[in-house]
Amino acid sequence: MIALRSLQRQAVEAFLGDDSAALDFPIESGDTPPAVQIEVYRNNLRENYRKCLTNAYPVVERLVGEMCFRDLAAQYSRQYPSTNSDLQFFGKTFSVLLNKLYGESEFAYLPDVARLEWAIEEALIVPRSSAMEIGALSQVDASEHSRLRFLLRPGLSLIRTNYPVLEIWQANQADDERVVNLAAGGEQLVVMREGESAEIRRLDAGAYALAECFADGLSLSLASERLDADKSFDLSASLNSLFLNRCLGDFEITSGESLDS
Amino acid sequence: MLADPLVQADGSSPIPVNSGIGLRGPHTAEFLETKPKIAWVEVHSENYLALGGTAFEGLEQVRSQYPVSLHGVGLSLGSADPVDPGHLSRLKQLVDEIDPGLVSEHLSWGTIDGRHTNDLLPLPFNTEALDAVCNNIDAVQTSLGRTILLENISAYLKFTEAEMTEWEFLVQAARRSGAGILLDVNNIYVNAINHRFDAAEYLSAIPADLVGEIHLAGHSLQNFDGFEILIDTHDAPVCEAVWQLYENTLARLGPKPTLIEWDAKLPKLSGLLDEAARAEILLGSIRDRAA
Repeated sequence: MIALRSLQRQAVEAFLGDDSAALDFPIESGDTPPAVQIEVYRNNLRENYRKCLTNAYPVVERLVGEMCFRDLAAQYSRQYPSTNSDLQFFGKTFSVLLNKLYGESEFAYLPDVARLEWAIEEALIVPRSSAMEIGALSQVDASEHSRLRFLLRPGLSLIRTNYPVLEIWQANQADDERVVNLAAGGEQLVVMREGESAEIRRLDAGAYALAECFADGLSLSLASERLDADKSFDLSASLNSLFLNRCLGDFEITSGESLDS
Repeated sequence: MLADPLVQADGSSPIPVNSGIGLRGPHTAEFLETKPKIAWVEVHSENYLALGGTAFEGLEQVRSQYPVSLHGVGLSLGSADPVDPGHLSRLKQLVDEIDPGLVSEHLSWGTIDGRHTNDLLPLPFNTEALDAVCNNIDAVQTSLGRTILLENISAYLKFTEAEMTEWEFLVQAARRSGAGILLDVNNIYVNAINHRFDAAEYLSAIPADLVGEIHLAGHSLQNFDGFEILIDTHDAPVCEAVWQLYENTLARLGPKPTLIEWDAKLPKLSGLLDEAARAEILLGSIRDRAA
């Protein structure tokens, strides 16, 4: 009798592997040939993964069409198999496949759209949070300002795109018929949870760069050091922009390390 | 010694012995707004393991007003591998947060060597699989500090060299592990048709004292290379044959908490509640008959 582990390995290979996968594990033939029994599972798995991606990437599906999306989902589940028993994680790297397939084509905006849609997913699975108000800094002594480290709000994603993705996304909600000028170029977006939905905002280059520093865990002074080379960078204006755009959730006072340490 | 999953300290059922509905995301807002007259709801544990976000907050609101059962699809109890400790830990946190009346999982597997199918795959009905499944149930029950219910699945293939029937395997897994049974009547029907056995024989082997919950759902007939196979799609009303089997089940087991599951091509919430109302009528007649 075949050992359980061996049987399960062969079954996974038959269900997830290529069509030519060995089908020699012990299935009763009965009224239905083993190959048909296996095909039921192969079909179930394909459909489960497709539905999962459809839920996460409705705009990508709308842009490429249902049939093409079905094919993309099949490719994705083969090339980037599920790594978790919780399907909530499945699809995170869909943009990587889209970039491989379309990065050099006229559809090169698709990976950007996918990254935005995944950021929306991530924003909706964090607890409700409020944005930090600038007034909260009044309790910090001026001598400690350089050691301030700001924490971005939970579930916040920063996305730098090559295309006007926010407009593409908006144009594909409901029956928006607008035409998007792809030549308009990229943008820096922030996606976070606000109330019951995900909010998408555009940031200017300075605010975006500062937010990236905070995402990397840098204090205000270290962020300033990193961004100092850019003569157009205005620390005060950028910080203010992050407050206005409700990107900051909290702050802490660091021990005062430097970029070199 | 873990508590009996089917009775509370005061002797009552942890979930009302009435009909309930599987509550899915698209219905949650309407459900909370209209507060329908339904005794309890069940949700898929894996949809809430993030323990945060809009879905989880909705579940917390539901839980504050209704008894809730947590139904899992991802523990892979029948795998030759141990249960994923990360998944189990997140489930435990969810159970601690929600304090559900019941926790259930499928008698199936889906993961081996870190490869995930995210599906409910059938087991060979032999002692090695029984040992593996009981070890994993033990780990789950120990971690959760409570017993769980095991659900019989729909299977579309059957391994050779079985040492026992599906129902013997189910009952032995429950008896040995101390778990209860979540008897999915639709799955019995689907398997009986696909694998040509007598559903009545299955039912007659299930001890009433082990069953803590019943599931009802819709299925569909699909064609694969000219072969017609019933698939447990949960995308249609419960069919008449399954309603009949449910009546037979109640007649044999007595009234049990009964859930209407619907996961795809969702009807309006009212449609789901109508199905639950029909189950409630049948539960009522069994009670009347017993009185």
